[in-house]
Amino acid sequence: MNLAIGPVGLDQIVFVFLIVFALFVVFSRNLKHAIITSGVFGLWAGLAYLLYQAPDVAVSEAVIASSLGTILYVLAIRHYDDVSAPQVASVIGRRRVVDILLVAACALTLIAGSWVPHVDPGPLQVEVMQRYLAGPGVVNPVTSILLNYRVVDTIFEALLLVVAVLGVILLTDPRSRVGARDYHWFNATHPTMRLAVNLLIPFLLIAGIALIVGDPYTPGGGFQGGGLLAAVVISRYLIRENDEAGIHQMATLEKVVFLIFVVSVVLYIVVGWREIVPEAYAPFMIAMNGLLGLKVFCGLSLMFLYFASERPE
Amino acid sequence: MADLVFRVIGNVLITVGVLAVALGIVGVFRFRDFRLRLLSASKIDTVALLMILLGVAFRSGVSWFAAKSILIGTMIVLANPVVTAQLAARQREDQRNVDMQRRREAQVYDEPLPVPAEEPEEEWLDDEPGSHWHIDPKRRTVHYPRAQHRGDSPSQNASPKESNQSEVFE
Repeated sequence: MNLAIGPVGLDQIVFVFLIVFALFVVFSRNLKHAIITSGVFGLWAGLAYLLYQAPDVAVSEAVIASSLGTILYVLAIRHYDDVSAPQVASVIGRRRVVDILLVAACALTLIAGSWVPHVDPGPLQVEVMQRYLAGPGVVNPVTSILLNYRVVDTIFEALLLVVAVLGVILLTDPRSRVGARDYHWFNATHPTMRLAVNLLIPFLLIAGIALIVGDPYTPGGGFQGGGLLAAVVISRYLIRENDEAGIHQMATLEKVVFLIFVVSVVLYIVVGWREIVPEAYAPFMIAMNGLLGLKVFCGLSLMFLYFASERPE
Repeated sequence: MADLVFRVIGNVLITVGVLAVALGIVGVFRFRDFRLRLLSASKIDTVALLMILLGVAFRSGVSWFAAKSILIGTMIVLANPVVTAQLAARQREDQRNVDMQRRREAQVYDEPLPVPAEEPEEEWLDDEPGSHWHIDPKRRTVHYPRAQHRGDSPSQNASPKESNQSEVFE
């Protein structure tokens, strides 16, 4: 794939935009501006991952870091009228300093990038990639790495999400849970709004399930698929079709799924069922990926729903 | 021959799309009002992106790539107008709340009410920030700069001190 424009490649242009938006995030006076700009930064980061042939990371960056993260941040500060940070601006001075920083960093990136010679993959890299790709034929290599070589990591990542969700549930007062405020114009009961959301939900469902199940040649992974499925819950929240009982069932389901995940990984990896029945490796991977996706789906949806139903002061 | 025709049609469509993007960006920077900016930006979201996707589909002929780009175009046609309408509606709601708050404050200070807040349609089109609630100081009324609440950039305001707090003229 030859994307070079003279000495400047497409990846370097993406890097320049990364620098621009990162500096805008840091030096923005208004917290809302900073949050939105960090979402844009996440989109550019996803494009950079895509250019370096990591579509899995690009999907997870776009779904979780850029979209869901931005939504959670906006929900967290929405009850404050105007959160601004004047001291940052006064320390740095006027916008001129930021502009000079931007231009300098962009020029440095372009120059440094044009100096870097192209590196061919060495023998060790080729060997490692072949071993990872030759794992199970059915699931995609990133999933295989995530659930085989890095399975302890993955358990702790899932544990982190459980703890985060528990924190959100415990820190929001259960008596303060209210239904969402409705609006005058173009609100949740508007037929166009409902029709659009109901038409978009199948797209999200298909994409999420396809990411979780996966195949060897497309990007996939439980985390990304779970994030896309959580977008279904958010869409249904937009037209007010979530019910209260489902939230509690979801909270229970998340913990149960996490327990099943940990127990099965311990049985399979630590106790050693992997050596006893090696032909069950691929189905095990798909099942684990499904559990992980279900868990991430429940966790992100719960975080969103609890944040969204918080009563304003 | 058909291949060449497809390529030419695709190039024309992509050119139209890029032109629409350029015009939309000009509009975003040219307009000062939030709704006019939204009107201009939504052209990039729908018309320009749709044209570029169609052009890409034409250029690649009958293939899975064309099918995928048409699928993306379908999702955009479904989602983006609704998102733009939501933004406009929420901004109107926000502006209504701000107007009502100002009316309440004006009643507290026992001053003549500003312009009725229910139907401010004619007021959207004036470009100058601060013109909406800027009332003559001789009439002892409150001066409310409005650019801050319309989503304009802070550099449009005359001075940060003036935009932060309302001033009562005696």
